[in-house]
Amino acid sequence: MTNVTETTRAAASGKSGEQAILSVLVEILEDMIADWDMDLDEPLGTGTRLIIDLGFESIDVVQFIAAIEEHYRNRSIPFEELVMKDGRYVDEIVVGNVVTFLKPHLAH
Amino acid sequence: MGSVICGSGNVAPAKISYRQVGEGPDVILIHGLAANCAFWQMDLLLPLSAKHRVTVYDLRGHGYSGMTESGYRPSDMADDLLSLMDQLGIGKATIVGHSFGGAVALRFIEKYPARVENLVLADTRVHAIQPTNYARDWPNAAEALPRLHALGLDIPDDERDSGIWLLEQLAKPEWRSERHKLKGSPLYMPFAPFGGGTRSANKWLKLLKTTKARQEISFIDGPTADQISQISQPVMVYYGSHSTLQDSFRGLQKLLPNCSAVIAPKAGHFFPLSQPLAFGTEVAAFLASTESAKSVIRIHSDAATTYGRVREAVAAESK
Repeated sequence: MTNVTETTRAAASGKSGEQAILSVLVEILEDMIADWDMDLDEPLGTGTRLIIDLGFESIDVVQFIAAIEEHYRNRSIPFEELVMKDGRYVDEIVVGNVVTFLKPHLAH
Repeated sequence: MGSVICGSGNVAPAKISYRQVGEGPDVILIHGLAANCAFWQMDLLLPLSAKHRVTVYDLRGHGYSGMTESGYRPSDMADDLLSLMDQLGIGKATIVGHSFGGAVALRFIEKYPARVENLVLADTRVHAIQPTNYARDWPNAAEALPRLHALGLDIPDDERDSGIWLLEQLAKPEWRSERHKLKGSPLYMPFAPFGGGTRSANKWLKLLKTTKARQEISFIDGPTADQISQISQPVMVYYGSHSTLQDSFRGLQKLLPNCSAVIAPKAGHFFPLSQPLAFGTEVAAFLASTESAKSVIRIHSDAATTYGRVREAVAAESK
């Protein structure tokens, strides 16, 4: 019983962990695009694509990463694993993937 | 990214946006015109930040930094760098500049030599050596100019700074799709490795159109060839094999015979962007070599001190 309860608790906290991370990312993004005159079809969320939907450029990705580092006071998150693949920048970054990527790094 | 307010004297204050990665002796990277600090990609920063604290920042009028009416002379931007270093508590740093960023770095080392540990110039046109860059003088003019002509880009014969002319044309909306046709070529002039670079390109056009940047970036009041030859810090000159700035590359080697000269193979002006890992690795290796050279000097001076003490001891015994 104890094990089941712990597992349930862990799963619940994990979910709320993801929700908390998502809220932080959405807040950072809202702040960044506040004066970009964006006309978004849908509110920012896990499905938001930084490049296609928000028109992100490299400098915005740098700004986004720096804001995450600043928020969590953590400069050792290996963001290259998120934005690079086989020595090249990936074509797109989806908010939901950022949440999944961040979760284990923020658990420590 | 963090930001500080820079600007002093006649130069209007501007927000300068920066980011730092890694720990260790300081290295500061200065991007060129129309770019921003994202020019220094992650795989370029990784080898450098392994043993150094690397600071990247957006020049005035670029990226997330503020755009003022004036303050774009290399000398003004050197003062911005000094102010940034002061506010970040950086006493001395290795300064790495690409293109116009190298012009800022050269002006900086001339004005504030005590603040520079090492200097890296990457594909910078050194005005004291190469005052003009007419397209007809390009080493690859025979191959490159017809390619540009085929795209409808004819650089005016009297254009002294063909690089900036191209950078302006390719930023215009009508050329945005065309510039991607140059991808993979030494002529490729991207505005951003991510996305289309539309906002960066627009910001560059706005800078040229609404400020004094166009006149001021060409305002070179130093350093002279003589001043360059007197640089005492270790210098690395790093140029693309297809760069149009070969005269600057050769000239720097003449003025600084002890410099470390490196050619990026099969690369044009934007090789830190097209070969980021190689760039970061080469610069890190250069810094390691200057640090080991310093430790050799330290060992020698320690040995000399020890030898001096032994001599003193022998002299004392013989008394």
